[in-house]
Order: sequence, then structure tokens, then C-alpha cells
Amino acid sequence: MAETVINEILCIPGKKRNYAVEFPYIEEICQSLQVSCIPCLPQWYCGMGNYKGMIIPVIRMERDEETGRRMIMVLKHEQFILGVEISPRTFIVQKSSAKEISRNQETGDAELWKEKELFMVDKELYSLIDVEKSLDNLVLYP
Amino acid sequence: MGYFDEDAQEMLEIYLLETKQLARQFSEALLNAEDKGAFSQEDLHSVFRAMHTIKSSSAMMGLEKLSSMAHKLEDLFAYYREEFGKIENAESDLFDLLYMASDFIESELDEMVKADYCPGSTDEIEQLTHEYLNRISRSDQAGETEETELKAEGPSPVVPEAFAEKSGVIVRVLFESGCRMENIRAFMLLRQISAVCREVESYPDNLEKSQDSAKYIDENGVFIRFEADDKEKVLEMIRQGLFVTSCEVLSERKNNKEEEQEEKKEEKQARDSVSGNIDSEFLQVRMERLDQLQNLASELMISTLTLDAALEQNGLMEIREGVFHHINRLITDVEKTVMEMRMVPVSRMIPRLQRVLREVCRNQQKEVDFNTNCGDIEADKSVIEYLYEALIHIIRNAVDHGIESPVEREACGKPRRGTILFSAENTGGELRISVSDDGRGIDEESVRRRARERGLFCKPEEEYEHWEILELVLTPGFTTNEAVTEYSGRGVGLDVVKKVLEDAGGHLYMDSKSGEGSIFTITVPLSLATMECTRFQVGECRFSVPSRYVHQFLEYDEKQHDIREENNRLSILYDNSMIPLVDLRKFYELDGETPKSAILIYLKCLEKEGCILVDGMYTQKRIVVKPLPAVLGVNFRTNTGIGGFSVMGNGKVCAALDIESLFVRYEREGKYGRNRYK
Repeated sequence: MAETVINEILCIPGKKRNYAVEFPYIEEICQSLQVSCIPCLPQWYCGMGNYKGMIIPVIRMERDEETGRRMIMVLKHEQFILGVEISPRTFIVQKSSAKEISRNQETGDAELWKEKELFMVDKELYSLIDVEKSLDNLVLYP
Repeated sequence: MGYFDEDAQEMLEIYLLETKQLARQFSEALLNAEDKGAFSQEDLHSVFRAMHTIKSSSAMMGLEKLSSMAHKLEDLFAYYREEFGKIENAESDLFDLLYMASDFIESELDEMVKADYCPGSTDEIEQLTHEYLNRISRSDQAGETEETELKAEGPSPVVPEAFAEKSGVIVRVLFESGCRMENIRAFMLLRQISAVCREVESYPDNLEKSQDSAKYIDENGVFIRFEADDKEKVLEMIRQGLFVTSCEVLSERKNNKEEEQEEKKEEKQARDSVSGNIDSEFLQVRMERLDQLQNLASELMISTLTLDAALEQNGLMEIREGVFHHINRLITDVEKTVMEMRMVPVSRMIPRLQRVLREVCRNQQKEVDFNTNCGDIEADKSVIEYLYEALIHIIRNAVDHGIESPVEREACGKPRRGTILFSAENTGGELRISVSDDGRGIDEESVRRRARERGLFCKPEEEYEHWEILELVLTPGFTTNEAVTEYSGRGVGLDVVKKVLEDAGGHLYMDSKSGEGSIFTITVPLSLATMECTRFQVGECRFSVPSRYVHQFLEYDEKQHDIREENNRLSILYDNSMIPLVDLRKFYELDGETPKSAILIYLKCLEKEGCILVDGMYTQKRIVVKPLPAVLGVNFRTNTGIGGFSVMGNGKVCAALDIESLFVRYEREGKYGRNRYK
């Protein structure tokens, strides 16, 4: 991953914020993935889904977001694999074409996600998700 | 580019497979011999053959150092084989040398797969082997000289000129002094061996006719040259001859044809050892291919569940009961066959565990007998690997913490040697292993003291039962050892065992009595692939439990009057005793009301029993239980009572309940489980 030149990012408009994910972390974007109810999961979990024989957790993009938009982005990093319900209004931009916004303070949390960088795309702010740190952070019972 | 060239790289996997097997044989033969304090003829042959093959195949791989070391060890064992046929009272120096070689081979094999592999030095082992061989052959020669000094004084025997240029084996045979008619005795010997030799002659010749030769033989012995397919047999016949005191091989030279045949044979052996013998009844298969095959079989099984549901839903009963039924049976057979292919004997772990035990005992200067009782029980290879990892810690722990030093043991009236008993049994789809020792046991007071220091008590200390105190030693970082030794004191040990077993869907139970010893019991499924499961529904959620734990189904409606609630916990009358009742709806805070048709399932595992209340049942199926995804975290199982997931025929995900963890949680938390995320 570290050696890969990342140029394209997937922009995902959200309810409270907009998010962006670097492409190499995206395994697939599924139009339909059956998600089942499982106990003991946090409210921001939609449940568990069967993704190509693997049983993966499926979560919402934002904690209190309503579920039902069955487009699921499958993120993968090392042993972690996770489905994320996303808005169907996603689009791809070249990272080089997005304007990077500098911050006075260190990058922080963006809802469930750790933010890596902040970009301006079409006059809107997008938080580029630090997938590796976020997945570590999302572990339920470490 | 690594150490191996392109050709060798292609053969590396097979070489590793083969040589690892030989290294294991070598190690097993060593342990077996050390146990008896002697190498039987079979042990000698086994080590000799292993070294011979390692020598040839390593040379083919360009591993000259390893080949040379194996050659030296082969020479050492050839010497024992030819001279004595066995080793009685094997010295500890010999075992040290051989274990050193065994460890070296195993470590080299582990290193070879690395990109920066560079062969390790074998100089020390070769030097030690050379010195050892020199020492024993000198002492044997000295012994022989003493025995025969009256007969064969003077310079070493030389091959008679008459045999100088000839091929075959040349031996000098000495007879007992004063046996008389030495020429006739030699003649009889020649006649005896001629039946198994292609060629045989003696010096002096014309034995039966020449009276003068008797005197020569009495002084110098008789020289015999023979060519035979089975040299060892001939030598043995000579040694067994009447009045024969010694038979010394002076030279061995093959004729051109034999040399050519031998070379071809060795080449073939080396080739076979590296490329696998096609005539063999067994075929070695890479583990990852078997894993892949198992995954495919599992996926097929999941897909048949989906297809079955679809056929039923669409009313295609003719297809469902015809072609589908047939295909389903075939897939079940495939899955069963793959599962059987992966089964290995539990006893396979024993030599490796004995090695671990030997090493700890040696370092700690303790004496321990390792008794095993595991019959021919088999389990999936992955299960065995998990178990091995867990058992290493348990055995080290047993010696380090449990077994006392020989002096201490004698002082408290115990036998000088401690005992560790390893036993395995198959209890209906589950492997149960116990490791018990007769050491000092776990000192409850030390555990309490350390737990107090570390603030591990989460309820008043006096409320803790014996088993709960014992379980504290499974806390990461827990140790009662004040001093750090090579094996313990750092608090890394039993928590690892617990974690490893949880990964394999198993459990660890402990019992211990101060001064008398401890017993560790492990339960794991025999296979991690598929499991006969009972599935049910509560609200919108689906669950499964291994069918081996399901003992009875009861109508909830009929049993309601047998249910009591005390201290925020439900219990139900079952077989004249009140046992826990977990209402899964309440426990997991699931929506909806319990229907009138709800069912109680009575479950019983090794340490826990109880009933669970569910809404309705699905058919019992053999299903694939997948491990918990990493994102859920390593403590998900103990915090939720859910140990894995599987897919239903309709594509829904079903939570596999871990009964032990569920009941432990229920005892701890009450009828409304404390769900962290609610």
C-alpha cells in the first residue's frame, strides 16, 4: 500500500460531513448486499453481511445516519474487511485536482472516522479518511 | 534473487516437505532411543536412511553444507550399523550431538523460505561428529585388539596381493585360539556363504587340501573376498560362524557395473526424494491446496443451502427431491472426504512436545516422565496446530511452576521423578485433551495476593470461588513467579493458551490442588470446517449451537410453571435440579414478544448446563461456521457469547453461540445481559 501512488479518491457526500476514500482501500462497491441483524452490535452497525463467502460487518457512514441506502463500499486493509453503507451520489476525483485545505491543528476525528486530510471539491469540504487508523479505531472489543 | 537458483527454487517446496518429514522421523527416533537409552536396529536404520536421503536431496538443492553434515552423520550411523547393528547404553554426548544436528536441520528448513536465506555453518556439528566417530572407533579397535591380541599382534592387516586389484568385499576372519583345523573351519565358512555370494574366494586358497594353511590362519586369520547383493547378510553369516571371533572389513570395491548401478540408484533415490515417488501409495499435497479445496467444499455447501431454499420457495419440489437431492449428497461426500484428508493423529504432536519437555527439564534440572494415552484419535491439521501451540505453554508451565526439583520432591515424600500425563479422547465431535502433573499445584493464596496487588478482583474477594481464583491466572501478564526464568515470570503463558484455544473454538479448564498437582483440560472441535448445528430464531436474529451440546427440546408453554426468578436470574427445573435459563430475547435485548410456541433447548457442555429460550427452530444442518471478523475484536466472544457466524440458505447471517461463554456471561450479568453498545 505504502508504495502505491494514490491519485484517485472516491468522494462520498454525507449527512453531516462529506467523506473521501483513497481507491486502493476499496475492495468493491456493491449494489446489494444482504445484511442481517446480529445482537451486541453498536447502533451504528447495520449488521453482518455475506460478501463473497466472507461474513463482514456492515456499518453506517455516520453514527446516527438512517439505514436503507443499500449501496455498500467494502473496505479492506490487512486482516480487516468492512462494509460501509454509502450514499449513491458518490463520484471520483483526481486527488491532484482537489484543493487541499490546511489546518491549524492536527487532523482529528470525523464522526466514526479518523481524518487524514481535508480537501475542497466543488466548493464543498471533504474529509479524506485515514482508513488504516480508522479500521483500528473501529474494533469493537479490542 | 535468493540463495536458490531457478531450478532449485522450483523444487524447494517439495524438498522442504520431504526433508521436514525426514527431520521429524529423525527427531522421533532420537526421542524413542533416548527413552530407552539405546538405539535399536530399527532406530539405527531409520536415522541412517533419513541422513542418507537428506544428504542426497540437499546436494541436489545445492545445499553442500547440509549435505556434508548429513553425510558425516550417515557415516556415524553406518559405523554403528555395520559394527554392532544397534547401540546399547547410548551416551548422553551422542544424544546432545544428534539433538544439535536435529535442531540445526529444522532451523535451516524454517529459514530456507526466507528471501535472504544463507546456509548456516555446519562446521561445529561436523567436527563433533568426526571427533565422536574417531573416539568410538578407536575405543572399539582398542577393545578388539585386547580381545585378539594373542592372535593378531603386529602391524594392521593388509589386503593380500592376490586380492589387490579385485572388486568385492575383502574381510579378515579370526578364529578362537586353539580351535584347531582352522583351514577346515574357514573352508566350511566359505561353503556356507557361497550360497548367497556371486563370487567368493579365500587367501590362503585350497583350504580343504592345504594343511599348511591352518598354521597361517591361526596366526593371521583367513582373508575372504566376496561379491554379493546383500553384503550385510554375508557379514552376519561370517560373524555367526563357528569359532569366529572377529570379522573385519578391510576393503570394499565395486566393479564398474555395480558402481554404475549404484550411481543410478542413488540418483533415482535423490530424484524421488525431491520430486515424489509416483509409485507411492501416498501423495504429498501442499496444505494450502487442501485449505483451498476445503474452502471450495464449504462454499458449495453454503450454496446448496441457498439453492435448497430457492427450490422450496418456488415450489420446485420435483427438482428438489430429485437432482438436487443427489447433488447435495455428492457435495456432502466431497466435504466429508476433504475433512478426512485433513485429519492427522493427535499422537503426531507427542514427539514435539517431548522435545519441549526435554529442553525445559534440562534447563531447570528437573526429572519428569511424560506418559501419554491418546490411542488413534485424529483431528483436523489446523486444530492440531492450534493445540500444539497451546500445549507447549501448558507443558512449560507444568515443569516451571508445577513439578518440583528432585530434591524438593524427595523431601516432601514424592518420587524423585515427576510425572506429566497427557491424554486425549474423542467425546462426540469434540476433542478433549488433558495434561495433568503431580507437582506442587497452584497456590491459591499466591494467586489471591498477586490479584490484590494488580487490582484484578471485580467483586468482594471472599465471594470468589476456587475456580474463579484459578481463572485469574489466565489474565494477560499474570504471574506468581517473582523471578523471571527462560520460561516464565513475564506473565506470558496461560493467557496465550486461552487465546489460542478461543481462536480454534475451544475452551480451557483448570483444576489444581496445592501440593498435589494441576490438571488442564482442553476441549476443541475435531474439525474447524463444518459442524452439525441446531439453528433457531429469536426475533429478527438467527442463531446456531453445535448439535453435540443439544440434549433435549422442551415446550416453553408446558414448562412455564417450572421457571423461577431469583436475583435477576431465571432458572428452570430440569431433571430434579434448578438450572440456568437464558431468555435470549431479554439477554440480547431483542425486539418482539416471546411466542406461545416458543421452545426451550437444554444444552450441556463440559462445565456448564442450562436452557435457552428461543422463538422457533430451523432444521438441523451441517454448516460452515466462519470465524469472527477481525473488526469485532479479540474479546468479542467472551463479551457477547457469540463465537462465529454462518450463512443460512436464504443468505441471512446466523450467529454461532458459544455456550460456555454465554452461560458464564449469564451468571455474571443476569437475565438482562450488559451489552456495551446499547
